[in-house]
Amino acid sequence: MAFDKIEYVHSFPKSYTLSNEKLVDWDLIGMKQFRIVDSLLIVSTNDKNGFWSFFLADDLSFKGSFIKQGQGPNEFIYSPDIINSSFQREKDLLIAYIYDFQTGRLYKMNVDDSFSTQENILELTKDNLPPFLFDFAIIDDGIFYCKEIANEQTQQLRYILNHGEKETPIKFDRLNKAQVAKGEDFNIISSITVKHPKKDIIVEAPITLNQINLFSCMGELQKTICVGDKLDNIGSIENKIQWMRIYTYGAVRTYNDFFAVLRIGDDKKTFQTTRKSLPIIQLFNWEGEPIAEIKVNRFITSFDFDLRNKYLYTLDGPTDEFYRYNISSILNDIIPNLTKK
Amino acid sequence: MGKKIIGVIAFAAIAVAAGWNYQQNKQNVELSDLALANIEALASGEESGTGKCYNSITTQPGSKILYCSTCTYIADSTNSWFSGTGECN
Repeated sequence: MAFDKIEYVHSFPKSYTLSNEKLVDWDLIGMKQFRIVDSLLIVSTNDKNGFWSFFLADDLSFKGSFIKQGQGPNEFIYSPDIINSSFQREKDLLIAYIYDFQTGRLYKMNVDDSFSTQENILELTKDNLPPFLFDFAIIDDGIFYCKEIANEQTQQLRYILNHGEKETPIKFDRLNKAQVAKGEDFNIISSITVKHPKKDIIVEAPITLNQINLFSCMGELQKTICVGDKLDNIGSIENKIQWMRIYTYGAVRTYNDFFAVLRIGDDKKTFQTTRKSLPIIQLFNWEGEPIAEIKVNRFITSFDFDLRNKYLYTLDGPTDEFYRYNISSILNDIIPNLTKK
Repeated sequence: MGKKIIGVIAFAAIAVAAGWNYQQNKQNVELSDLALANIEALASGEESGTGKCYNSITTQPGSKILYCSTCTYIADSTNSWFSGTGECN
């Protein structure tokens, strides 16, 4: 599941180990994901009265909870994916485009107006997408990146949906060829995929393979980064019993100067029981070169950088623990002229 | 003797035809059940599935799993290590 151009990463130029974390003490339970957008910290939970809770990143003051569970208009069956939602400024208002995986509908949420009215200002867009996609990203107005399961659940096919027309750029063929045996766990080739909000670059980090694919949808960029000596082989993973398969990447985040991935490193059973490997946040520039690794001093399942305030936030899903680290010295060292997100 | 052979062949042909007809009817019934399940799942807005499913699931971003209780795929989830399995038809 790799491009022809593969760059191997054996080490990172800089390495840091986190310490002096501060527990964020709030009442949120059942946290699934979180993300920092502009000055906001947004947390997705299982709260059916408001799947997404919004806070100011500066002081964590509460701004409101929105997106209700239900099957009525403007309601969602499950909490929509906060990471693949697209946040944009339109006429100085923060707008979120939210894909409903269950229906294929694309919603437009006016975040600022929702704050001021404390009502969810949500409207359905004209775009109709396939439901149940594995991965999704907005490329441009009416243009979407999609990945869906195919061929009796043995392949996951990437394509562009351009105003309703399906197009498969040639560069996707290399990735789309990847296949598991019939009846095998198709998640061997599943991935976490995030597009940079402004750049035409997609970061695809498989959850069971030791590689990261970096590519543009409309441009030329296509490369694979392998963190290790050689690429994991799908057949070799199939030969391992399910519990011995390594859980490689658990989260992806993008920023103006770099992208970051969360390397887990435990096999599936260990991850679900005792957890042994402390996760590592690996940072790469947009050419795919390694910048730094940040070793986390506790078990986490998700992270995000607040580049305005120079904090790193971490979430551990199984324990609901949410921590904040002051990493101003690390960020100043890594990227002296850091662009605020 | 010749009549007996013809009789046996005729009986066998009828039996095969009856068996084929039974299988067709059975498949029609199964197809209808499956279609019904799909319709129900679509009505509820969930992705239905068939095949091996899991009784107990846990969170894992990027992964999808077929959950036995609903016979629907649950996003960002995987099977718990202790989970029993079942079959969704």
